[in-house]
Amino acid sequence: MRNHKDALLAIEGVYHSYLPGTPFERRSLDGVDLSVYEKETVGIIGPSGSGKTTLLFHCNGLLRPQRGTVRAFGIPIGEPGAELRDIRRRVGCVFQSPEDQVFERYVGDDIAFGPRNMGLAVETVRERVRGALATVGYPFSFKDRLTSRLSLGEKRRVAIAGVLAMDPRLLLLDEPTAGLDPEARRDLFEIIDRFKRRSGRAVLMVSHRMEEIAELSDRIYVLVRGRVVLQGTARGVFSRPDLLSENGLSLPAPAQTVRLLQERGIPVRSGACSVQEAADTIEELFRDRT
Amino acid sequence: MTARSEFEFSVKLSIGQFVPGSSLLHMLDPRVKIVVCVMLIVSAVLVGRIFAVTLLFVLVVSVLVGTGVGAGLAFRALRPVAPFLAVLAVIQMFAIPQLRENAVIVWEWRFLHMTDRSIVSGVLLIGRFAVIVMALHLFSVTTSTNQLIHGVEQLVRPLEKIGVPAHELAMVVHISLRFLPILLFETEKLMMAQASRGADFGKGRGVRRLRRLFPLFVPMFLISLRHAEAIAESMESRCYTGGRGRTSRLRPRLKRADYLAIGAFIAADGAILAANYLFSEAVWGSRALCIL
Amino acid sequence: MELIRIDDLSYSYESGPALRAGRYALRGVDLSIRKGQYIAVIGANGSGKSTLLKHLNGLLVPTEGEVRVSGMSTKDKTLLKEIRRTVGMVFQNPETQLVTTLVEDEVAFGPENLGLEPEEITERVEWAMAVTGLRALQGRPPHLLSTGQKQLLTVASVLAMRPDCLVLDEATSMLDPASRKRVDDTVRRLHNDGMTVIASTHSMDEAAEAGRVIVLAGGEVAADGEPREIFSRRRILRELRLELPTTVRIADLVKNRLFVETERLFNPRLLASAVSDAYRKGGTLR
Ligand SMILES: Nc1ncnc2c1ncn2[C@@H]1O[C@H](COP(=O)(O)OP(=O)(O)OP(=O)(O)O)[C@@H](O)[C@H]1O
Ligand SMILES: Nc1ncnc2c1ncn2[C@@H]1O[C@H](COP(=O)(O)OP(=O)(O)OP(=O)(O)O)[C@@H](O)[C@H]1O
Ligand SMILES: [Mg+2]
Ligand SMILES: [Mg+2]
Repeated sequence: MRNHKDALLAIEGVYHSYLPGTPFERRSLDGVDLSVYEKETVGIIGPSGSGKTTLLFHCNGLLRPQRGTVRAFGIPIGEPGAELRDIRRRVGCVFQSPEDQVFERYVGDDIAFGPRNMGLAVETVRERVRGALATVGYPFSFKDRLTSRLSLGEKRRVAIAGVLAMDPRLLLLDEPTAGLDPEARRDLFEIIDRFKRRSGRAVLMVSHRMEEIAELSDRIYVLVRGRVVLQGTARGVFSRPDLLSENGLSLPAPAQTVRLLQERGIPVRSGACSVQEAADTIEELFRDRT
Repeated sequence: MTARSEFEFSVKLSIGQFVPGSSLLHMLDPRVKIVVCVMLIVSAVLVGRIFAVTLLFVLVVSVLVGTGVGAGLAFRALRPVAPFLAVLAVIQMFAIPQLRENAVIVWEWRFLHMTDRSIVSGVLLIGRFAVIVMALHLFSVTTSTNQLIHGVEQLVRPLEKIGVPAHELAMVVHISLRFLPILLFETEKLMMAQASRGADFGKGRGVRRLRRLFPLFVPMFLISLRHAEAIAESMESRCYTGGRGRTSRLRPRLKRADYLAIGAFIAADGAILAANYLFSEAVWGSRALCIL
Repeated sequence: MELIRIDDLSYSYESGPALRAGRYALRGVDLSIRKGQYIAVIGANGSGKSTLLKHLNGLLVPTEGEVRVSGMSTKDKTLLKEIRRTVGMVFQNPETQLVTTLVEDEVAFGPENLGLEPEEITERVEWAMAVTGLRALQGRPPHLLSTGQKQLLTVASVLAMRPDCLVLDEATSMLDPASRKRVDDTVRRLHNDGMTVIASTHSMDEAAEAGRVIVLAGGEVAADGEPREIFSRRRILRELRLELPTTVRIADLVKNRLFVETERLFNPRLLASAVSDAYRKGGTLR
């Protein structure tokens, strides 16, 4: 087991209620423990309203723990004097709704917002914007587009670029692929994969697409009604179909295929989560026979 | 021990938000509540005596408490505006020259002067404001926007004959009531978006904090505009074309309880107004007695 | 029977001189949509899907060309209400579609605009909340819901209007798998009872379940046909920056073990039965 102290992000026993003390009070996190180490992608899945977004907001100090502790890069976020600005520069967050994230008039200004706040030189900011636009598949000239005149998917890409331009160390992604076309989705997978391989970096990602989570995550947390009910590797988590379907989740399509084969009495090995793994499993089935 | 996030200021917002519930006030016909609310506001403006405004305040609080809605939220709604109110009251008490005429001077220093009349008007200002806030609160907390639209519409419908656009009026009321919480939530989200990319709103007070908030204004305006447009599209595409031909799932019909409630209220409110005029200088001839 | 007819539709968001300079979001679109079809609209980001869908209920009117719904032109303002009663639309962004302060009121908003009797409205609201699984959120203010919960609410509030034609613009993109399945099943059931469905999506797995797939690229219709046809044109798909459904991708990798065209194997059920057939028949190389 890794040493807990080495975690880039360590969340322990966090509770949170929205609008406490009003008639709208609602418990959204109910004692969550979670940690993220360097060079890994951690996935969070859970039904709508289970507190995934709320949890992500705790990771860069947009919300403070009402009980429990959150440490990012060793800095306790809950404490009143915490230097949140430093933390937020190191922890980039792509929001669930790009509409809430992209606020400047021009695409270029929006992507430059983060780098400018970091006090970078004009030339560097320019390079960052150019780089970030290229990463999400747009030419530099896209910077002159008005943000109010983008399609939702285009806006999502701009939102991702705006966070990447800050070159964060921990990347928080809240349903980053919703609204992205297949190519942009594949590009993002590659970005995530390259990102997490660099030292001192990690990715924490929320998604409702089980295929993506299975494909990308080194570890997965299952959040239900503000509690972690299951955690482990993709293989481990997706070997519990009953627990998942009880909680509004499902198996990724490759795992579903394998399970259906087993139900038909075909002797396939279980545990395939990705496309490649499922193909290997099927190939093996035929090979073993001949 | 809890450090609250600097963005959760929607917590402080309680006026203008419907709270689903089953209190007596929730059950009343929206028209009754509109009439009560309007009467309270008009009375608060009309009365010119401290005791009368106090009675109005007692009346609205007792309606809130007696019907099981509770006055706690309403007091909370008052809290954020209290400082402005205090400043206004102080200005009234010391710095309005008109209030010196025909009045007993209590205290004076250069251009500042406090008279019996200025004290009364300062106190009245606070009292009126409190009554109005509580009345609006009483109404908005117990009436969903849907009920509100239909209530206003039904009340104004008789005036349609003389060309008052009942439904459009109802929508204007709806949207302006709806807009305040939306604006606050949008601001909150925008601050979160900016903060998570390194903007700093954290420390500093007063002018310095205001200057930090400045970069919010332009995007806030743009976002609100964009959202207003989207909401209009969403309404239109669900066949919204104004009031004509629109029905309600609630079918509001006046019940006995509604008549009783409105009767009792009119009696109480009328008594307060009557007392306000009866105990006037003209009737009693003595100033000292009438100052309250 | 034809429900929607689109003739030479071009649309530009610009106006005046900028329009003449000519960036068009849609260009020369001709489509005929028959009653009872189930259509998926796919295409890259910015290819014009949302723009096309907004033409179907007259929210946008053609810069050039014409859109007719049951023979009614969307350019005629007096027919708009009737058109919108026929074509119900769920938008792409759940954050900006909610207009009321109570979940039940939101679902009732559409039916109330249709001028239905209170009993009928109540019944529809109950129904829509039950089939989408929104009951648990009854009595809550919409703006305090999570994004997925909001999206589910937007779907329910259009379902309650029982339109003849349902237009969904990526309307299940943020739902959890169970809610998505509930919505899919309901839409499928209504479709079987005769409702026309037009849904845009970026999920090829979902598109494959439709009866007809329309592919947009750069504002033009690049392909139009049954999913099987579309997904057999792999080179074109790659050019249009699209991909194959997950299970077809698996099937392609084990192609020489199977006896059927892989582009038919749209979902785990079909793939599993193809694999087990092949296995039982001996799994010889083709
Ligand atoms: N309000 C607007 N004003 C001006 N241009 C717009 C507007 N909305 C979209 N566009 C442009 O029109 C084109 C088509 O946009 P549309 O929203 O139809 O794309 P889409 O296929 O729905 O994309 P997505 O998959 O991202 O939702 C895009 O190039 C976009 O930038
Ligand atoms: N601003 C808010 N005020 C009050 N309650 C909220 C607010 N935002 C979310 N909630 C409630 O808190 C709970 C957790 O919400 P959260 O947004 O974290 O869910 P989520 O897991 O991200 O869901 P989704 O998959 O739909 O995005 C939900 O019950 C939601 O209704
Ligand atoms: Mg969320
Ligand atoms: Mg779109």
